Amino acid sequence: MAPAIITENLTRTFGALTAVEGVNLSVDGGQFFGFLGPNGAGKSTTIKMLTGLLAPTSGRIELLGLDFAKDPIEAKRQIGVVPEGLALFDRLTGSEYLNFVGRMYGLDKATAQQRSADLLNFMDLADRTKTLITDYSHGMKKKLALAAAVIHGPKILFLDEPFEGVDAIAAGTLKSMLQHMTSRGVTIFLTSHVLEIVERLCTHVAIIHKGRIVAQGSLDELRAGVAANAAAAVGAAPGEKLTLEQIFLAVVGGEGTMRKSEEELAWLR
Amino acid sequence: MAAVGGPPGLLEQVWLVGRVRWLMTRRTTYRTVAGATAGVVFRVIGFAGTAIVAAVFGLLAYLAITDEKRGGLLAIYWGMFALWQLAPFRAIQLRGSFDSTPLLRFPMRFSTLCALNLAFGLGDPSAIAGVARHLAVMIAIIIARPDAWRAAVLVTPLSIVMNLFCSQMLNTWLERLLAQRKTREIALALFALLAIGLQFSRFIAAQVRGPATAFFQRTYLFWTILPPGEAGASLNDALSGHIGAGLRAAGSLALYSGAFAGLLIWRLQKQFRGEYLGETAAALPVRETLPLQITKSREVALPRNVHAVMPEKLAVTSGIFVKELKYLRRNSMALMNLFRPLILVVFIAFSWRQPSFRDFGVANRFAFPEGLAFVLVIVTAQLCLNSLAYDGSGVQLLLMAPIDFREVMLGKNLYHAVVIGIEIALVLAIVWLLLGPPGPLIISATILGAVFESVVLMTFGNWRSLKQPRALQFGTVRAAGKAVRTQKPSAATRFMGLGIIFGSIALLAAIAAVANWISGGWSVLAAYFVLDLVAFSVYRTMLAATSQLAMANRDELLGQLAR
Repeated sequence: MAPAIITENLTRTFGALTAVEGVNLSVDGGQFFGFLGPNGAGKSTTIKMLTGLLAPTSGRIELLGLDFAKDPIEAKRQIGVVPEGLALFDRLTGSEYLNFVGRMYGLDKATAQQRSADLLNFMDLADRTKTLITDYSHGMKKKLALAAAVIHGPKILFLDEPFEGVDAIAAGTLKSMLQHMTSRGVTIFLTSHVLEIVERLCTHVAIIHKGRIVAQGSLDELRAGVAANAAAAVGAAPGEKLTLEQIFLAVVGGEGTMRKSEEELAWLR
Repeated sequence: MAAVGGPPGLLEQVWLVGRVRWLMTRRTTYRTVAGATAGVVFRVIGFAGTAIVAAVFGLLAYLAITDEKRGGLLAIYWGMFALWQLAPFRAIQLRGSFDSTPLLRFPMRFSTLCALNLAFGLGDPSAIAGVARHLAVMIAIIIARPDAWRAAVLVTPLSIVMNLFCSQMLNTWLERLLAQRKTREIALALFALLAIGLQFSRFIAAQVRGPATAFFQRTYLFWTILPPGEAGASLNDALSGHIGAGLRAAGSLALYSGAFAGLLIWRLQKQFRGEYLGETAAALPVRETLPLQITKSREVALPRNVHAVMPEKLAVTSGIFVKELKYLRRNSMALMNLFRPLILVVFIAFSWRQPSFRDFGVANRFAFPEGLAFVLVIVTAQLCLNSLAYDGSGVQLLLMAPIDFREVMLGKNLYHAVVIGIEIALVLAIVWLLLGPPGPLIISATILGAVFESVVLMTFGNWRSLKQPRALQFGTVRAAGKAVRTQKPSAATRFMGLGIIFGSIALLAAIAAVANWISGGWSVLAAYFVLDLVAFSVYRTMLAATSQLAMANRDELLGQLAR
């Protein structure tokens, strides 16, 4: 399948700080793609650049064959986003917000209303008709943001920590919804600190560390790479199937940090 | 597990929390040299102001005793009480009170929480000022009547303690009441009305002085049996040689203090047990789980991809317009601020009703432009200079959606125009009702002038809203996470905005004077019409550049609004 997301030498600096440097990504259409990295590695900066919230200092972004810099509006029509700050208008009700977003993405009034109702029902938010978003719980806000991201039927979905604060039942519903979307050809680009979720959902993963991509490929490819080079360093037995957490720690060097902290905080025992 | 010592003592905990509070204040106030300088100046002025007010109270007490005015001391203690107790209400508006809830996770005794509450209550600037006023009055009493020193020394600490318990009790109860967003917004609206009332206290006092005096004289006894009245009455009795009555009044004052302390402790106990005052619990009652409903919801078809439609231009603009109207309806503070200036127009109209103006027939001619200019200065500045303020993190959506940002600003400006139109109609209605019709020439010229001023400010405001946005929270008057003085637009925007508003009004006035002098009143209309066309043309050009400006300022917009 043709790549849905391509970045070439994507770089972003903030004054003297280089947050993202020379990132080259290639994500095929219909892929469930996990984008991982430690805190401050450059994940959110990369997502912001991919969704038009932040201008790259240099480099190129292509979404579904569209150059983001040349045709941003057409590119934005193809994507749905659940950003870090959720992008909610908190003095609207959930239904008003979804209608508003639908209209912003070009849906006619009737379609926007129909889809809002469907999505609110799907997300189990339908009975909060008069509740303002500001009075929603964090999990409800997350679900609403996800509903807003899919209302126009995007071909690429960017999700920044979508399951944080969402209860297990809702998370299960959302996961099956997202998997259903990928089976219909939608590309999902997901960041999460919960590696078990990424391991269960994603077929491909990229790991960013200190602003640079340090690993990229399918989970099996990453497993093979780590098994050949650093399995012992993460305490894996020969032939053992590595978890994503072990792969992640091997790639970003978390093992040394763990041991060091245990030694330094011996008084905790 | 390593051994952990017992919790620190009461004084140590008060000291630790006090230090944290000081650090927080210092790092908010003294982050820049300008901030530090302003902080020092502010404190010096505050100290001087406190000393002057205390001295005035002392002088009044001295005069009340030497002139033997029995009601004088009563009024003084009521005045001191009112000033002290206004502080909790001021804290509602500025959200300046110290929240002790986060401290509850520490191993803290209930007595420590009580001590902290009282310590911070006493450390509050309003309490320090209150104590200063009490001490000044005590000294004045002793100077005026040295023989009454025992009464003064007894009543002063009793009154201070009563005021302290009362203000802390009000604080904790207000916190409870205002935990809900709606209650908070209603309280803010009432507070704003009170503030307007205070602005016109002289005018109101002139109207109601006679009946009010008669009312207070008739209800004198009632005012003496309430806490501040008891303080004044106790001193009055002591000064008259009625020691027994004085002691009885002082005892009543102590009882009131005990009652306030009881109510305070009751609330603090609830806090100590982990009372939750958030809004979500009230807004979202626990519901029964309905498995069937969940199954049904999962069966709902998800939207299929639809990429054939581009957002219609009107859809974006009208969407933003409707959203702005909904936001206004749900923001009592903004609503109040928009219609508050109309009250001032009523006062302006009243001031033009004097016979000297009416005889010359100028009242209805000048009141409309004057009133409208006054309203526009306040309203356009408030609407246009920081028009993304309440969008918060929603601005991300506006930047991510496949839309031209120009349409967003157009929707906002349309909303501004509707509000300004309503204001113009209301000002005209007020002037018409109170002074008579201003005449077609004055009405047309004033409206054309208002259009010019509004379009100029929208043009400037669109630029500044994108260039230097500032987040505002609903139900407060301060910027999110910022100190009070940085509220609303940035200082530079406010300064430039005011310059533009006054410049526009001065230009309109100059054109009116010149055109009127050269060829009579109707030529003013032609001149204003040309001015409007020029303003619209500049507005259109600037609006076309809005999208580019928004994209270029994404960092600033997200950094300020979507934090």
